[in-house]
Amino acid sequence: MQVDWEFLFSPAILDALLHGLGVTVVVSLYSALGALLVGLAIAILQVSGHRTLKAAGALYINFFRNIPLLVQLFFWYFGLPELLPPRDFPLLYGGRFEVTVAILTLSLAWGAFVAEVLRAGIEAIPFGQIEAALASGLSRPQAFRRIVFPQLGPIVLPGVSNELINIVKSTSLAMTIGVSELTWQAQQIESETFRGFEAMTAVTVIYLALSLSVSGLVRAVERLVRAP
Amino acid sequence: MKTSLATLHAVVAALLLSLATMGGNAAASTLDEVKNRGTVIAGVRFDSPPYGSVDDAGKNVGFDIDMAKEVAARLGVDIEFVQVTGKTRIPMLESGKIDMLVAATTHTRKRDDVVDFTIAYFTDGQKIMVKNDSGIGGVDDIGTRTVATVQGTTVEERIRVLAPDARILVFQEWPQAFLAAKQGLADVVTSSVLILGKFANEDPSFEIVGPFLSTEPIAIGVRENDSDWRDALNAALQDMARDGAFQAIFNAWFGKESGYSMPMQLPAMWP
Repeated sequence: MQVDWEFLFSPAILDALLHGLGVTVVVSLYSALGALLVGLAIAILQVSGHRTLKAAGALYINFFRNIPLLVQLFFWYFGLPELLPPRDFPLLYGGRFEVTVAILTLSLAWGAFVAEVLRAGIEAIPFGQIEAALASGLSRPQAFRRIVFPQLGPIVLPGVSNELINIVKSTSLAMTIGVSELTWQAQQIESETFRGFEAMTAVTVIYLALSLSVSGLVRAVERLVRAP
Repeated sequence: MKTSLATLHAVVAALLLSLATMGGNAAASTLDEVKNRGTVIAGVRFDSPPYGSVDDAGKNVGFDIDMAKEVAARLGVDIEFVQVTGKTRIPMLESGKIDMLVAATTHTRKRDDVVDFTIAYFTDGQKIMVKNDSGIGGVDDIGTRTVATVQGTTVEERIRVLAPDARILVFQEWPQAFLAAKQGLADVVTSSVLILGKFANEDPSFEIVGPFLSTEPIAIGVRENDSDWRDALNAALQDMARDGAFQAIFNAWFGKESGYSMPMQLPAMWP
């Protein structure tokens, strides 16, 4: 096995890697946004104080947190056409259905983890503060928005940062349903040129850079919210 | 900080160096290794019936499996099966994790740059498979429709050329490509006619259409520049065809009872 690093910088290979990086970034961004929204919604259910809502939140978390991501990807990708036949819903399947499924699955699954981080953050805020807010005439939603929410940042951001990195890394599983993201491109390069070691090294470096940027970005936001 | 960074650099450099020199192994033939070990490690497919798949009891079955077993018997050694996929098979062979690749593998010139092959023991060909009511009669009718196939195969490479406007869905294993077609996620599946035939025989709503798109000589892969090992395998394949063992395996998988009714193909036999 002769290692040839220069091969990575040939136009065709660079093009494939950049294309893969683009898909990985797009899937990561949408999934992160989706997971944050889902997580926030579920966390609010969890701390709502309403028994049924709380149970619904717990059910959601237990379901999505405990099934392997790969199984969830296959389930939605091959199962959705069963519920919504492609013939009747051409719009859903018209574009890049596998990308849609990847974003949906990652959002739903990682949303459960984000919800737990947010719930823990909310519960870390002394209940006395909320009692005081309610006693001074604020409604529950107001108390949440004005008192709890502004304090959440510094508490939850380290945990959220973890989940965001997990999201970036888990986009690689989407190759199993045919999403041509970074890992898929590396495998494609490997199968076309038999230079798997070089391709995988390149991809390793790119993932490392991506994850480090995410944690760097979150740390910057942390500094911002802590400023006052 | 500076010193720790320097140490890190040194460690990384040493690591890369050791990786770079890895695999530059001694010149001993795989034949000697296999005989000494008493076991030949065959890379086979788990996802490609009738070549190689796994039955309900978890046992490897298929044409390739029986071929590999017969070859091992003629070498006088036991056999161990290791799973390879379309994409992992060449790297698995190159890195020495398997001794021989008996995995529905087409002998191509590009693959021959990095590994070697025995004589062909079968000739397959690429076709496309569609739903009965699709209106697709050949590769020219595909247009912008969706084609499912598997990564790292000759059929994937070729369909990109033959149907340049099609959306190509690339899976890791054949069952997923077929499931995608079944669920309406793909209009066409392209593979070798034997692999398509297995599926089309089981699901009458699919049919194989159009002429052959290629000729695929299927051969056993061995590591580059290991003549002794390749000679031993070539001799075993030819002996099998001479004494009828090859014909028995061929008929069991591709003969009248199999649903394929393929005419007999014999490997080349050197005088």
